[in-house]
Amino acid sequence: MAMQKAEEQRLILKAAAGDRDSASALIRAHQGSLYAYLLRMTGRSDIAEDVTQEAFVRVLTNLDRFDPRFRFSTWLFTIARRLYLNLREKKKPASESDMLGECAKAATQPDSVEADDYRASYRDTLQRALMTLSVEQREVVVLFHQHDWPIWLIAEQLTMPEGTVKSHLHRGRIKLREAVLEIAGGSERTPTFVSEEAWA
Amino acid sequence: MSHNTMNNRSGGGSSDSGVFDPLNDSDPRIDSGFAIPGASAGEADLRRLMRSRLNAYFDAEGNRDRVAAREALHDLSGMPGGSDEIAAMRRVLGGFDVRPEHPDLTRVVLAKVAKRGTFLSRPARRRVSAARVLIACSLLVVVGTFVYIDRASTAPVDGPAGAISAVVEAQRSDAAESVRNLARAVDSLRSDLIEPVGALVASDAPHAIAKREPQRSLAMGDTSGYEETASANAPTAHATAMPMTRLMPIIQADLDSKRDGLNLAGSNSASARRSEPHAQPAVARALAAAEDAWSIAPSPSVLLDNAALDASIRAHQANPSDATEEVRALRLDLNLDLGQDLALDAGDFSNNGFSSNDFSNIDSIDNALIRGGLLTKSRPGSDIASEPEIRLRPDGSRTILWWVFPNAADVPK
Repeated sequence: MAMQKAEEQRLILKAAAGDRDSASALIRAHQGSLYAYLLRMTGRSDIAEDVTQEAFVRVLTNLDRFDPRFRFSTWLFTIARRLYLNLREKKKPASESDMLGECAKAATQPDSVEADDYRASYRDTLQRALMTLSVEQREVVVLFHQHDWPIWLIAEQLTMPEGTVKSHLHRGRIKLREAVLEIAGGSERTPTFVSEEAWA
Repeated sequence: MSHNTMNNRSGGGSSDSGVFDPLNDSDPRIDSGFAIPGASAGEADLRRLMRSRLNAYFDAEGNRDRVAAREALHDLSGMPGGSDEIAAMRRVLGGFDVRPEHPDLTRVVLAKVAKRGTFLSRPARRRVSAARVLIACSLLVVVGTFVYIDRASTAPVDGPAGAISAVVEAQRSDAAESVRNLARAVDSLRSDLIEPVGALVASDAPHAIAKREPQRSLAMGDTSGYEETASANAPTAHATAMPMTRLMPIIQADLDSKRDGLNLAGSNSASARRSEPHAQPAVARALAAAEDAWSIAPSPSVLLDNAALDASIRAHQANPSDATEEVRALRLDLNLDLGQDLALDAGDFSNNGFSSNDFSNIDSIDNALIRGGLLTKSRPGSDIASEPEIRLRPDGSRTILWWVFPNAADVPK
């Protein structure tokens, strides 16, 4: 849901004053993109949902601290990204072999994958290909191609030079294409991403 | 970008300036997905160039830079398979156009936010804030009151802080130090118990007391079994501890009592003795006070070195004077069998003319001491009175002196 900046500012002010409807409007306007971003980053719908909730709660309870000179979505994504990184740090896989086994099972048992949200995420070829990228590459690619953020904004958000952002973008894009081709081609090889991104 | 430029880049895969351009140049560290095994160097360069232009195209598209996008598209369209690469990459990136379905989190988020009071009106929020402050203050006051009451009701610790510190320090000391402390304490007790007997020496000045080193130590009982290293001729200043060693410190503590005063039992003149005719010798009172201690060893007795005593008495009889006489050897033995030894003593006394001392009915330590001579104030039938005195030396040690009074008439009976 696209929202003009003036309208967004008005809603923010009202929500900060305690207006529940304005807060609802803000949530509806941004929850889709934020959830999609987190789902692409984590590959887990449950985690994406939890982080999205927590990010909104934190934003709405601290609206008085919002600087109207910036975009609300940027602020929201910043908070969500921190939550995601913190959660990722806390939920590092107990062992690489555990995650390898989990993913191998998911790849060889398509019927059970359908019933499991976690496994279902791996049915998405793009998602699986994304998970082969490094976190930086994945984030840059997602923000650039899914959220249409310009390079300078991504660089600002990720606190890295634009050249580095471009480098991550180019490498990630090529790697993504390779992974999609590999996954779509029915490669027998177990994807390498399984050991890179894992959730306890 | 023109074809000429493209051709120039095809040689080395770098920008015109020769500096690596991440936007337009390929990264040689990345394995090309388009690399064809066995392809020639020219083909590899072409693939690398194609990848670079492909990135440039999609960067420009993402940045909505139509001019740059058009140039990159033009370059790619001139390459073999360039259009296919664009189409393939577009299909991959097209997946991002489809947003995944998401749950509506509005209600959940609002419920969580409402719990924190965010949606209250400003006045209501002020009231809530004020109420929270009041509650916090009240809790603080209550807690503070409890703490104050608790501290006020707590009795102060008895004793000086130093004593507590000493206890704490003692707890910290190791076992070896504890043993050393105990050994020092035992040595101290021993030294108190086996102080040599002081000796009185007759002098011209009345009541003057001159001390000599005793010929024998005041040993508590038969110390022969314990004094293996002691010479028979040399004075033994410190004998080995006797079984009764625990008792003497108690007695001494009583002797140190200010209530009794010093030398209460040992007035060394007839006039002084007359001033306190009913004074019970301090030794007796001390031993009586230490009744519990004596109960540990139920058969103490007092023995006199009768030969030495007898010699002293005879000397005084030969040369009566008001001066005190030395008792060369007085042995206080609290470990010997009461009846047997005292019976022997009684015989000795009897042989020496002190038959009036009847030791046959000794049944208590007081009687033993009194009838044994230590506490005897007078000897009926004799003009010599004797009485023990416990003297306190300047160094804190104690000596038992045996006083002999030639003029028995002065001693109250």
